Amino acid sequence: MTVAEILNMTKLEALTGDAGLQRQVNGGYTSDLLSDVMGRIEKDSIWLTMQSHMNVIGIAALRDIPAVVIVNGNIPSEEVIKRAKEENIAVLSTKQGAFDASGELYNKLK
Amino acid sequence: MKEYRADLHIHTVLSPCASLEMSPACIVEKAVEKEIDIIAITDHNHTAHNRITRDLAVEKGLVVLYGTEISSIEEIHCLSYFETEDQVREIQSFIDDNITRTRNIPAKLGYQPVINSEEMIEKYIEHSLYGSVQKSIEEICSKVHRLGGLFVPAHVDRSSNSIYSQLGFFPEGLVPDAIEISRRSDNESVLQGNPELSKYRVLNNSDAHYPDDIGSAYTTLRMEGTGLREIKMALEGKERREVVAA
Repeated sequence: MTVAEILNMTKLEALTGDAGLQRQVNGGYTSDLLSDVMGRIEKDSIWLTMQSHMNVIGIAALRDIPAVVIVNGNIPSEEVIKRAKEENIAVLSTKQGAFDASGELYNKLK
Repeated sequence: MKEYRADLHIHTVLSPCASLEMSPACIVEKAVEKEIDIIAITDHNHTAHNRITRDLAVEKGLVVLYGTEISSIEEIHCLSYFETEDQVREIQSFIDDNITRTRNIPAKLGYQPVINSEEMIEKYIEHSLYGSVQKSIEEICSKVHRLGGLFVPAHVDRSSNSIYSQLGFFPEGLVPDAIEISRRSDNESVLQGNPELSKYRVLNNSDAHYPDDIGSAYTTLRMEGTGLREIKMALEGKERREVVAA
């Protein structure tokens, strides 16, 4: 499934325009500890977190992550959005918490 | 008894988040220029630039404490200070044995070069120093103390990688030698907001990532000398040693 297809099926809002939308998503991982994500997330997974700072994009780029879902309505800064676009990573925002957002995506992906 | 200005939280170029200008030589030069008497080198989860910085500083009359900023399993940043090569070797092997290992990609997360005494890049640390040591803050604190080092939770006022951001409250059993308050806050308001902190001595440091940051915050210590033992006594307020002003 592509990031764009996920967007069509959910209420997630893309903050990064077209960035990452054509990339493939095969699973997901939910965690707010960056070292945990860095060590465990699998390539082509969508990552759900409440964190919204610059290192999130660094870790996502390092691990070939197509899209990051920022939960709890947190909105990253302009610099974060800019870097995500440069890395072709979709940053998606939702007002939902991590549990609900993960559940919804799990049902679509599995 | 003499007053010393101490800036005990400085990153070198080895830290992926620090400026490439932060060579040991540059740090020594800036610290001297800013009239700092004691610095500590505190790269994330690594000690490789401790010795080389001390060697460069000796001739300038600048004191360099050995140190590293260890990330705990909860991703709390913990400053640790040491004096001897043996202690540094021990803490590095403790970190290396327990840190999450993900290969760093410099273009994505930053460069991690180790510089030699000729100011040349000797090698790159291959695993990401953004990893975390898979031990709790309490376990790291007791390891540092068993080695004879000092343990200081970093930037307790910050909204990321601090005790409060990661744990929600100050753990009761923790026995730090001091706490650090970042240059972004003033001590009084942090202590007012968190009265449980008032029993700890406060260090103010620059947490320098760029040359101009060095010395932008420091702690004044009144002591008989500059060794780790003197600093410990100043933090404990023993035998007329003290933290004069932060």
